[in-house]
Amino acid sequence: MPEELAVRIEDLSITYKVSLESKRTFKNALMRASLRQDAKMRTIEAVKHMTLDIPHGSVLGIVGSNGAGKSTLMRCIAGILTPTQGRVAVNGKISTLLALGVGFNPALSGRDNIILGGLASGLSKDEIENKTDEIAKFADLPDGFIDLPVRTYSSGMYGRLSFSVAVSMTPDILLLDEALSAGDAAFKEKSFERMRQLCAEARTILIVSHALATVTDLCDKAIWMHKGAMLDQGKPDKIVDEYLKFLNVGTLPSSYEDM
Amino acid sequence: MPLTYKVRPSLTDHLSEITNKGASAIAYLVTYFYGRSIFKRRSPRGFTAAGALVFAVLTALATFAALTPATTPSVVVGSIGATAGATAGCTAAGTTFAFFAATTFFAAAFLTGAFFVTAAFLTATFFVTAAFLTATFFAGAFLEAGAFLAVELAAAFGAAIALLDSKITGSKSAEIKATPAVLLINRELVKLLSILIFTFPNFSRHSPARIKGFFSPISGRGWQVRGICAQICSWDGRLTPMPTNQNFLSKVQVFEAHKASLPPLIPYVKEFWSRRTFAIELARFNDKAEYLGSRLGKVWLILNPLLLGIVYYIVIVIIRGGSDHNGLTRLNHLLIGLFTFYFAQSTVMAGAQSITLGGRLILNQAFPRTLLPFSCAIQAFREFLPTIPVYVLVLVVGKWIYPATQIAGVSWNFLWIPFIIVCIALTAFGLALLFATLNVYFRDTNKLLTYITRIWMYLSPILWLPSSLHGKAKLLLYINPLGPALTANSRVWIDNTGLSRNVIVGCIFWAVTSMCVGGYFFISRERDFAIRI
Repeated sequence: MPEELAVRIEDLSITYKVSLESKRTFKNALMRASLRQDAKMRTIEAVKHMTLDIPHGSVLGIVGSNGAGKSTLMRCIAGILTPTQGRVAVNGKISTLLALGVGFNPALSGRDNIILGGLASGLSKDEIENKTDEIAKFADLPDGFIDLPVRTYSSGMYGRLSFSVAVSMTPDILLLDEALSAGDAAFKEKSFERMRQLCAEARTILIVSHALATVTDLCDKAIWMHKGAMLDQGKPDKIVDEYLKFLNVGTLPSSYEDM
Repeated sequence: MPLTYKVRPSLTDHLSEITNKGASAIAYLVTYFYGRSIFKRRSPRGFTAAGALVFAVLTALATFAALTPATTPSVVVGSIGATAGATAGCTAAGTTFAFFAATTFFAAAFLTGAFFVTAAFLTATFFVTAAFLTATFFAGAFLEAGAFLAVELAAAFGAAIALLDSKITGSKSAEIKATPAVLLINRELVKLLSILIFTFPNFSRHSPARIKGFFSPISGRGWQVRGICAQICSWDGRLTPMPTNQNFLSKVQVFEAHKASLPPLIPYVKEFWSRRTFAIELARFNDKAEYLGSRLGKVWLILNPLLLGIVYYIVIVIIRGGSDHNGLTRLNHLLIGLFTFYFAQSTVMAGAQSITLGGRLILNQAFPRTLLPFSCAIQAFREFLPTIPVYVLVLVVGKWIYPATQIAGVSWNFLWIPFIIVCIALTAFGLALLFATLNVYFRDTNKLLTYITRIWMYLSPILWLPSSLHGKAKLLLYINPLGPALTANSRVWIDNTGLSRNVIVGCIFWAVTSMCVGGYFFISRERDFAIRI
């Protein structure tokens, strides 16, 4: 793998089976065995034969309709899912923010959660304790909320805290899945700034977003995924235009700016 | 059944709990007297052969009923199956009394207004108890039904008090994250109260002979009293919040389609080791979160076992035999056995849930999944440690009161204890891995596990002494994964002797087997978890 690449995806396919049963239990399995039925399964081809190189320092936007395989791709890059076929090579430390509010114990204070989150990311206890103040400052929660239990937070505050933790780990590769939808305009501006700063440090960011303005504003490259396959890649403006045309809504401002 | 406090128990929850307990108490009563009449008429051996077989079948049915979610058709199937089994079994044994038992369930269930759910629950409880009866046959004891009667009545009291308690605390908060101190105190009080009530006739010299006679089958047998204790002790439900976390990967990593069933083990173990602080801190923070809402906080870690000790002291030493130094020996055997067993039990139970409860964390982060059950094991150990001083306290005070007691002081044999605890921890951790994996694929594993651990406890040398088994029955000690370790535990703490070769081999065998089987099962499938959750 060349040095300048952050992520290299070669002929990647991810297939998995899901059960159509309402709940998988021993009892159902026993019933099925006694009635000699097969389990009702459905095979989902989430990602099909995808090949892509992502160099260091780039910001890649991924657009596509629901069920296009965007989140599955992100999880595979993060090493959470294993490929069914093909290969993903990742060069650098990954930080993920794949769903909002992940990684917090609601009974503990924001500060405790930051420490726990840092430890999970592989930082030592000293390192994370030194960083706690910085993270808390970046999240900038009102009125000392940082020392209150996380369950008292609003969803926006929750999002701010998770984002702050994710970006403060100085990751080489940052994976964001719809992570910027929470938080007010001021915080959004702040997080954009932070992401540009990460880019300037030659770090790589992958963004999945339905807010197409984020993609055009922030990314230097975009890909369009549809039903598991990569339809096109190129300049964000071009990809977003194509995607919107495909959606048959043209370039109406209302759908263009839905943040 | 353990009383589990939901986040916010409603009035109907309490009512149905009370009725449940009352109904099963009646059923146990019937079973008890029925069993006694059989015991008088026939040789125990004849009953054992027929009974054990029938009960084994019933256990299978009961399991089915227990696993049944509260959907109408499946509950009906489960309940009818179980009732039919009970009737058949009891007819085989020569009477129709159990039919009454079954009908009582249903009458009570109707009263609660939650027929299907309650019926399934009760039949399950009943038949798992039946399975326990079978187990006690092998352990050389008979007729534990009396003990269960008392226990269930006690639990009914408990539910009643809990009802009052929810009036007191008011359940104002929508999210009770930690069990409120009031509930904990009440639970302990109820334990004391109910034991006093059900053993009072023996306790007091002045109670009328007729009452004494009525209760004597219940309170007169040491075995049964111990059964009560066991049941009551297991009766506490806790809410364990499961935090989820951010996570990162480092270095160049290559993810490829895997053909081998196990990932490369050396990098895996390294990765695990580098994140150990996370598991330790997760356990610490979990503890912190659990006791955050209660005013006494971590004092409960000491207070809980201490109160447990007091309860046992009353039951075993005062009620059973007055100034009996054997009583003290038994009390100590029971205490150390239970404390150790709880350590193993909570490792397995919490570990089994750690994957399914850590759902979002697993969906969003890559890390060795074994860290989650491992953290549960650490938490269980953290809760186990304070019980040792409590045990020592009970022992010291006991020796001061009864100097004639046989329990000796400290000796070199105590050096075996770390070995035993490591064996128990490994065995339990291996089982936790196994059940955690099963729980991902079959979500009812956890329900089943409640019954498994209950039966497991009765099959372990906690309520009975390892030395009470003879001949082939001794096999029971070695078939049970915790059998050798708990035997060793009792031998070191109580008899203060070294370990026999068989026991050492048994301990190591189960620790290694359980780690290998559980570890292989878990690690070879853990990359699938993200899809299955």
